[in-house]
Amino acid sequence: MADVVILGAGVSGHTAALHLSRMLGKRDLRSGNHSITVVSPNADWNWIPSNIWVGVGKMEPPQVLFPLQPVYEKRGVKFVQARATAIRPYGTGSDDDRPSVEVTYTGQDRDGESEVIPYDYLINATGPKLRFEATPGLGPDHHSYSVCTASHAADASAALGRCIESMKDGNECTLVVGMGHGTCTCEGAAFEYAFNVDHELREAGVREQARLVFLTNEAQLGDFGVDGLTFEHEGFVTHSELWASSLFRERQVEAIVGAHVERVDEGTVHYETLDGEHHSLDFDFAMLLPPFGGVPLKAYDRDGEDITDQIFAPSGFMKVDADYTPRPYEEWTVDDWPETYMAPGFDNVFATGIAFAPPHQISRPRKSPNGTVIAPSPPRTGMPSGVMGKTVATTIARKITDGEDAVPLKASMGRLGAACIASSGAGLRRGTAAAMSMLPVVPDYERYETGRDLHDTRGEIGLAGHWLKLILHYLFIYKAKGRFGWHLIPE
Amino acid sequence: MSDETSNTTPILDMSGVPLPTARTVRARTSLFKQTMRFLALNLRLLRMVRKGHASR
Ligand SMILES: Cc1cc2nc3c(=O)[nH]c(=O)nc-3n(C[C@H](O)[C@H](O)[C@H](O)COP(=O)(O)OP(=O)(O)OC[C@H]3O[C@@H](n4cnc5c(N)ncnc54)[C@H](O)[C@@H]3O)c2cc1C
Repeated sequence: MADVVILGAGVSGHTAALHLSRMLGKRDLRSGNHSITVVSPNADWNWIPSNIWVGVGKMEPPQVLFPLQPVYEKRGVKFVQARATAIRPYGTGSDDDRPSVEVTYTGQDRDGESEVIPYDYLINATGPKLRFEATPGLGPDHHSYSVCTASHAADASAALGRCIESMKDGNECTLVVGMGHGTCTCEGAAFEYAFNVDHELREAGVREQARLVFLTNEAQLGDFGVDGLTFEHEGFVTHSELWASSLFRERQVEAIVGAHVERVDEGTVHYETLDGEHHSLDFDFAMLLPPFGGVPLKAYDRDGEDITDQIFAPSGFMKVDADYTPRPYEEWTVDDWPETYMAPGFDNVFATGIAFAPPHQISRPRKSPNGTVIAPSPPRTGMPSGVMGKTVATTIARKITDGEDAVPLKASMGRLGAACIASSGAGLRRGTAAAMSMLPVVPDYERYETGRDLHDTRGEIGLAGHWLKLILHYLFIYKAKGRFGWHLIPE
Repeated sequence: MSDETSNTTPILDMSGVPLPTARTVRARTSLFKQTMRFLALNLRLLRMVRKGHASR
């Protein structure tokens, strides 16, 4: 008998829960032979990539959300609507002396109540803490919008709509889209939102009155936090910088690169650039993504001593089997990246998706002459996050069924690929998307001259990408609902 | 480098970046061409998924 606790019901945690319930079997779960408990503060699952469409009014929040409880009920998984606050990986804290997690309820009519949940295996898939507080004035509670959650995106859409109405009345507007801090990640999402905004402005017939500025911490366009991509295109080996820049020029989206946002005031963003200069830009609408940190969890040993520093990196992400030795960019290799996502010293604790601490960035780290770090953090996008969830679920299932010595499975970002499909306008006939794929996510210069497989590392713009993005929206929601044949749909 | 706020906005100069030809732009929404691209994209993603899984 084994109890598995999964913290987080996002792309990674939910994927792990679905696969684990399939592998352990509904009958064993219902009879109490094994148990899977998913702890997550939100009652709903959110297909985050489609928040971009909510952010421009092309979709409503209910189209990207669905309730988790019925999905888990059907599969014999227990859902605890709560926020994990602490882990005790050495045991005590629970009645049976096993390792445990402390949670505080956020729903199920038990708001604010605390509970201790013992575990035999733990997956931390708590995703990011949206650190708006890192930049004064940033975020939906202050002077800029976000599309990180469905409700943030709905607010952004309403504000964009007001801006468009004002332009229809003959006014001119400046719209700023991008990254709200020098260490942000998810540049692909901001890129996608910028081109969706451009499309909306054109559809509304107000593009001429709009100045659209992409403000990014990338040193070059097309870096996407993965040090850029080298493509083979029309008989040439080219770089994503040229490819992305061409789209910016074609769509007349202005770009400011290598920028760290220092402060956002009402209608003005203040930023420093890599050359150490400070600038300000007035805006009528700003969507700036926050930097991510790990969700704040404490860790205690058997005596109640705080061992948070031992389990978590200073960023708040959980340490796993990565090589965290500090090294200069030139010495980084794929071997620095984790393979099993097992926490050091604990073969029953794993961290997957955004929750694991990466060993370093993927893009070359840069500082301004003032010492300000302006370097994209490494993205952990949907595809790798899902694969990590499934991989760890398989490892745990094997340990439970074959014994503790079962060899853990591996899914290094130095091997895994990722796809980023940035739709740049909806419509089955008129929509387009910039579709990028890369293999592997972390470049491997020993295996590939350009760091990545040129067959699978591509960038293309067209309707096909838009169709794919739309199909993925429906397909992944279908899969996440655990409907018939869900497990045949790849992560 | 300075502590002063500069009045200029350092907009990236993209005037030398190539623009797509009218033919390329048309191809991006050509139903025939994009249907082919759609199949190719799906095959590529499936190949990537297979390679990723093979790394275990
Ligand atoms: C706007 C936007 C667009 C994106 N577009 C794409 C895209 O097109 N393609 C792509 O591949 N990726 C995209 N991404 C990235 C993708 O969303 C992430 O890679 C993915 O969500 C990461 O999965 P995760 O499970 O690690 O985190 P999440 O999906 O964020 O899930 C984290 C879960 O943990 C829960 N949680 C938080 N705190 C606690 C706590 N204390 N205790 C328990 N649970 C907790 C959360 O409620 C949530 O359920 C996008 C991201 C954004 C923000």
